Amino acid sequence: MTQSIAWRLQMWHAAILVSVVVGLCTAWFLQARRARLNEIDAELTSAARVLDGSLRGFDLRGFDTTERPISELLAADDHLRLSLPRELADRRDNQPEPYFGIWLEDGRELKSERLPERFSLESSETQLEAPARHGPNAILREVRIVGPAGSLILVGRDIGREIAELNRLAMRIAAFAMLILAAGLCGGWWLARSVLRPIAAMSDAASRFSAADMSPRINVVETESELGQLATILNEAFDRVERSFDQQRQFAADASHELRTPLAVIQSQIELALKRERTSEEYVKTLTTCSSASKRLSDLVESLLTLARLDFSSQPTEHTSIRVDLVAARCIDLMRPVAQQAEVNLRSELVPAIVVGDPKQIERVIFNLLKNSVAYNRPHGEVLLSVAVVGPSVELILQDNGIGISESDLAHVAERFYRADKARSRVHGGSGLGLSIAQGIIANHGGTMQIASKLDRGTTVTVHLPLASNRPRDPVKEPVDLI
Amino acid sequence: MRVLVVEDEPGLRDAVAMSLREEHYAVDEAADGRTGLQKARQWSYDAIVLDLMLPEFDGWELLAQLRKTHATPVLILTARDTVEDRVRGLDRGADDYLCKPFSLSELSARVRALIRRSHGQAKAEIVIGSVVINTANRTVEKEGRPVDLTAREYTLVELLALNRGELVSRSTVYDHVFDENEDSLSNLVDVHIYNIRKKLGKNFVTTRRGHGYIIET
Repeated sequence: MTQSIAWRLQMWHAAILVSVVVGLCTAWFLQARRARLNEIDAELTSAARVLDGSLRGFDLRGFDTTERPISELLAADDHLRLSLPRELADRRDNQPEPYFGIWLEDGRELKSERLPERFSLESSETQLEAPARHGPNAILREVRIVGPAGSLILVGRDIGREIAELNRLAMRIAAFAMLILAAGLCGGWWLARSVLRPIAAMSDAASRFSAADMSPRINVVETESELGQLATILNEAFDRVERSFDQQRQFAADASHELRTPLAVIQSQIELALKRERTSEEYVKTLTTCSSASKRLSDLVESLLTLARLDFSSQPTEHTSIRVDLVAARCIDLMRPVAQQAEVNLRSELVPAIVVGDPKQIERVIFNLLKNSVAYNRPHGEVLLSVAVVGPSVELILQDNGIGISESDLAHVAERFYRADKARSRVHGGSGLGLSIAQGIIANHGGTMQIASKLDRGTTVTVHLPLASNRPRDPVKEPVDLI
Repeated sequence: MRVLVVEDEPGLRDAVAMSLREEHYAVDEAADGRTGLQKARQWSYDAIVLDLMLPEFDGWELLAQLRKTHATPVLILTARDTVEDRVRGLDRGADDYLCKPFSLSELSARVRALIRRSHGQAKAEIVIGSVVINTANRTVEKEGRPVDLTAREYTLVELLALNRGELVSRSTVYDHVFDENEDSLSNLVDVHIYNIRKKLGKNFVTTRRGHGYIIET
C-alpha cells in the first residue's frame, strides 16, 4: 500500500496542504489577535495619558508627602478630580470598566479605582504584550506609564470578553481549515486516482498478455497525453512480440513438419519391410528410400543448426581474407555437372575482389544462390554470375532467365521454410532454408542482398559485401535497438 | 475395401499404400490435392488417408471440397501436431487424426475402425447366425471352427456383412474390392460368391439376379 504511487502522491499532497492551511490560518489568527490587543492597548494608553494630564495640575514635587496625608492633597484641590475620561468609563457595550491606580515616586498610593482584589503592584509588573493575571478568572490587560515627578500611572481592564471572542474566532478558523483540508484531500485523492487509472488499465492489459493469449491491448482513449503515448508505445511493443511469436510458432511448425516427414518415411518403410520376409530387391528399395530420407534429415538439421548459430552471433566466426572471385569460380565448377544435366548454361564474369570473413560461409552463400538459379530454371536457360568491385563494396550478381518469382512470393522468399512451389522444391531436395541462410550470412558479414524477379522472365540476386580494405579491423558495434 | 492415400512424399506414400495392400485393401494413390480430390469424387472409397501439406491445393481445401458432396471417412495424416491443428482438422469434417511419424499398424487399425464405424458397426466382430467375422484379424469362423478364405473372398464377405440387410450391387462390389489398377473380369465376382457359399453355407449369401448380392438378417 505504501508503495502505491497514488498513496504516496496523496501523502505528499496532504502534507503540503496541511502545512499551507495550518500556516495560513495560524497567521490569520495571530494577526487578528494582535490587532485586537493593540486596539485595547491604545485605548488604555490614551486613558493613562488623560490621567497623566490631570496629574500635572498637582504640585507633586512641592508636596511633602512625609508630613501630610495623601487625602489632604486631593482635598485641597477638590475641583480637580482624578478619574478616567467619561467616554472610556461609560462604554457603549457592557464592557467592564477599566481600573486604574496612581502611585507616587515613594510608592504610596495616591488614588485608585476598582483595582482588582489581591492586586499587587509587583505581581502586575507585566509587559504591554502579555495580559496580567490577578485572579483565577480574570484576564487583565494593563498599561503603565511614568507620570509627573516620578509617579506611576497604571490603567488596566478585564479583557476576558475579547479573549473569548478571539477564541471563538480561532474555532471558526479551525473549522474553516478542516473544511478546506477535507475538500483538498478528497479532491487530491480523486485526481490521483483519475490520473493513475490509465496506468491500472495498462498494468491489467500487460499482466493478461501472455504466450497463451496475446490479444489484450490497452484501450487508448487520449492519444495526446503522456500516458496515451505510453499506451500506444506499449501496444506497439505487444504487436511486435505477437508478430515475432507468430513467426517463431510458424517456424517451429514448419521445422517440425520438415523433420517429421523424413522420419515418418524411415519409420514406415522399416516397419513395412520388417512385417514379413522380403526379397532382396525390396530390401534394397527400402534402404535406398531410407537413405535418401536420412540424407534429407541430416541436411535439414545442418541447415537449422547453421541458422541457429547465425541467430546467435552477429559476426562471422572467422576473419580471413577471401578472394570472392575464386570462391565463385569453384562454386561454378561444382555446379556445372548439375547445370549440364538441367541443360542450363553457366557463365561468369569475375574480377578479383577480397572480402574478410568466413570462407566456408561465403562459399555457402554463393553455392546456395547458384543452386537456386539452376534449379528454378528451364532447359536452355542461362545463369550469369558476376563479381565486381563497386565503390567500397564487392558486388556479386546472379542473373538467370528462369521461371522467376511472382510478386506475391517475392516478399516471402527469404522467410524460413518458404517455398513458392512446394512440389518443385521437393524434386530438387531444397529445404526452404537456403535463402534464409544466405541472407543471415550476408548480414553477418555486414552486407546486403536484394532480389528482383519477374515471373517467367528470371531472377536477379544482387549481393553487396564490404571490400576488405574498407572494413575496419574491429568493427564498431551498432547500437542495439531494444524495442 | 478400397482406400485412397493422398500423400506427396513418395517414400511415405509407397509405404502406406503397400502396407494397406498387404492387408488386402484395394488402394489408390494421389500425389497432390487436385488428383486426390478428383479420385475421391469419382470413386466411393471406404476411407481416405489424407496428408495436409500438399502441392496444388492442400488437404484442408480437399477436405472442404469433398465434404460438400461426400461423407467418405477421412483420416488426416500430418506432421502438424498442435492441439489447434487437430481440433481444426476434426471440426472441418475429418474423422480421425494421426501425427507423423506414426506406426503403420496403428494407421491400419485406425483405418479398420473408421470403415467399421462408417457402417455403424461398433465391435470388431460381426456375428451372422453361426458365422463370426473378426475384422481385426481378418478371420472367419463357422460354428466355432476357423474357415479358410482367400483374401478376396474375405474382403467380399466383410463388405457384404458390413452392409447386411442391404442389397450390394455388382458395381459396388467392383468399386470396393478392386483398385484402379486392376483389370477385373466380370464373372470374377460370381466365382468368389460361389466359393463363399461353398465354405460358409448355401444360404449365407443370397443372389438377386440382375441386382446384386445380400446377406439377409
